[in-house]
Amino acid sequence: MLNLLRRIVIASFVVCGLTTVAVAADRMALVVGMSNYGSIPKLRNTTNDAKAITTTLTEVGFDVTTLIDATQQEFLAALADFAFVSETADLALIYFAGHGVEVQGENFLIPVDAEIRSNRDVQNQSVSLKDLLAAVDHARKMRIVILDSCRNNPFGDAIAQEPAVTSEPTTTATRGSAGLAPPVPDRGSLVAFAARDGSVAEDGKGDNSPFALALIDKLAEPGLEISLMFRQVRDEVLAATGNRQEPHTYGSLPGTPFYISGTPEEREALAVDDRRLAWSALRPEQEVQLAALAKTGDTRSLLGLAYMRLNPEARGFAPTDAAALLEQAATAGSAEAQYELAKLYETGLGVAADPQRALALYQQSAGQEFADAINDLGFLHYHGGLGLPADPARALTFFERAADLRHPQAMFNFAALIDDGLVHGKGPDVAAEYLYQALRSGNSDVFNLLLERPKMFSAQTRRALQNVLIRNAFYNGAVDGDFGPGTQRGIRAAYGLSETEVEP
Amino acid sequence: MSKFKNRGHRPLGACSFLLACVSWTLLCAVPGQGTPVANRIVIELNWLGGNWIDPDLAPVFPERLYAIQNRPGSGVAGSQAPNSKNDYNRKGKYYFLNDSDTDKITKVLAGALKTCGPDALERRYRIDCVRYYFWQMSRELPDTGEYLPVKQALAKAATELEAIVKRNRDPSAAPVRPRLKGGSLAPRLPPIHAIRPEAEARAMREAQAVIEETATVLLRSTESSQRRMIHFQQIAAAVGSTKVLLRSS
Repeated sequence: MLNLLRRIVIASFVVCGLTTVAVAADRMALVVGMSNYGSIPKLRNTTNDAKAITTTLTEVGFDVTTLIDATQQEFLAALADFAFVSETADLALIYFAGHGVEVQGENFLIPVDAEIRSNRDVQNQSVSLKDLLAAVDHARKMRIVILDSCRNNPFGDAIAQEPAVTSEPTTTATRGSAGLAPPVPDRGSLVAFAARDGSVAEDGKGDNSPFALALIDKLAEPGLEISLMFRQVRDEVLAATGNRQEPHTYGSLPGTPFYISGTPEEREALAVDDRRLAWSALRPEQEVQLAALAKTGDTRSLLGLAYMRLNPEARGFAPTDAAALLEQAATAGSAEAQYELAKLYETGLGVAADPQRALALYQQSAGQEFADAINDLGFLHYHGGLGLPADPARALTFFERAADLRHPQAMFNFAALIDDGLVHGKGPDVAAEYLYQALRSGNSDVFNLLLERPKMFSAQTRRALQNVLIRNAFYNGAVDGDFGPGTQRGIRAAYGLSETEVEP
Repeated sequence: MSKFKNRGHRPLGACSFLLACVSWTLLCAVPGQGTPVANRIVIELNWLGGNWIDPDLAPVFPERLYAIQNRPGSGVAGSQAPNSKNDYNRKGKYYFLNDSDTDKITKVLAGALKTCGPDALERRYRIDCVRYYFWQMSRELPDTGEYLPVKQALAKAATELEAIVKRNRDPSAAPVRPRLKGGSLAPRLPPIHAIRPEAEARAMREAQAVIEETATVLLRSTESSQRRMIHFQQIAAAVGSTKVLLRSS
């Protein structure tokens, strides 16, 4: 192996000790730049890109970890750390600039120490896009992976000629050569490519790639909503490359708006979970862009407009219009729109109350594995709402399904019913694990209930929760089931609050 | 003239509004506290009940007004306190939208339709009659807490309706004093004035705009309340358990 210049710059790193309390940043980023490759062609601008992106993200308030010219081991270790600390962040973002290849439909990012001669080497010596998606997966609101990595084909024909290693080869012309495969991220996650799948991104004539330059420009634009930001980045790169390179995003962002570089007011709007208020912070010129996108049938834009019209304190309050927008997005298949429309039909806001239609929409949304809808169906089955007979046993299956999708309220509900002894084969340890995960996922009801009414849960479950807090270094006191000041500090820390921060 | 009292008022009996009450009710007790913390009743007021302003204009009236009612809970996780000292009245009480006070609005409105509706009063007197009821309702409501914007909206509507009547009043038509809900022995309203025949159509349109605006304010207000009280609606006790279950937010 060539003498690799390895440098890890940790701009910020959260250390969890037994007595130090981890304080969560609301937005966290892992920025990776691979330039000085040992056995494949070096890249000129990737390190510059990573550094520039780091600077920009830090300036707009991100807690950034930067990784330059890392080995596979270092890359994987950084991902594991990031996965843990970003659990309490609202937004987790990974940016990767370096070589990336597709092998059999899966995208791999190449660390500097890789010595690739075959497909198998790629799989064994690289880091998969799946690993990156897993590392951002637990962030509370937004999960983003940006790959500025399809710059050229680093391996020539070597790996393309290899036979399939683990599965049938894909039929795409880009396999093992330039470009990446279209990823299929989970709902609520977004993968942004510098160039469309199967095409090559330029490294740039100056110090930065055209994609990085556009990103730097747009990330810093105050108050720019994230989905609109990626649209504008795309337009800028197309213009800069004479339409040769078209950035593309895959997956879908959740309906919550996010302003990367926000004013304090905009940040404050995001601090509430109410999407109606958060969308109302959108700047007027962006509303125009949002409306234009909605006209093309973009479901997230339709949702955004609908949320704005559901804010009773905004000038544009118009529930009937909101219902029409949601109807359009729901018909186009948006699970979130189906869920929101169901709520309108349940409460009769903007439409005539219609329990049957509400139930049908909840079921439609749940059928697409939309966790909010699944949990609410559990609630409705449990209490017998919307014409359903009360059926706690049936409700349990819904709560478990939504809990396994990491839905905060569902994890709490399922833990509560496990604690009541209603779930065969699951005891206090499982209940405590769900409670811990619910706490990590940032639900304020769960947080308040655990602080104020812990005795709702049995002593065994309380002790099991103390054990989970100890295991994750949030608590070092006695395992006595008594939620005194020490345990309360641990709960606050696991929730992502410092000792002095005010409750949400 | 009727006298309205602050509490326990049951003045006007059945109404000819289509008043579809109680879409669903969710009552729950928080274990250990024994206090009802969630009582959600969705009341649907149908403003079209009896073509009460003008049959031609009826289709453009807001079809429904929803009032989300809640009882304030205490000690419930996540519940929000009123924002400032100004939210309390002199006795230190904060008014959330609640059954009793909202009942008052709906019953007075129901009475308004009976008293001012087509069966009881000529069309040209209707705007002034409705004006009187809006004014009366504005006086009835608490002037703190979540009712303040409702009260202000009703008072503003009454003032604007009064201006419409003044501009278009028919001096040749004698004022009338309709009986409450048209009852033969019921108390009478104060003198109610008529609109000039040639100005009637325009005045009705203006009155309609005022009422639409008021309905929007009321809708906003109840929506705000829904948000404020969201925790009460979204947390419900699990039956036979010490637990509460949470809905998605």
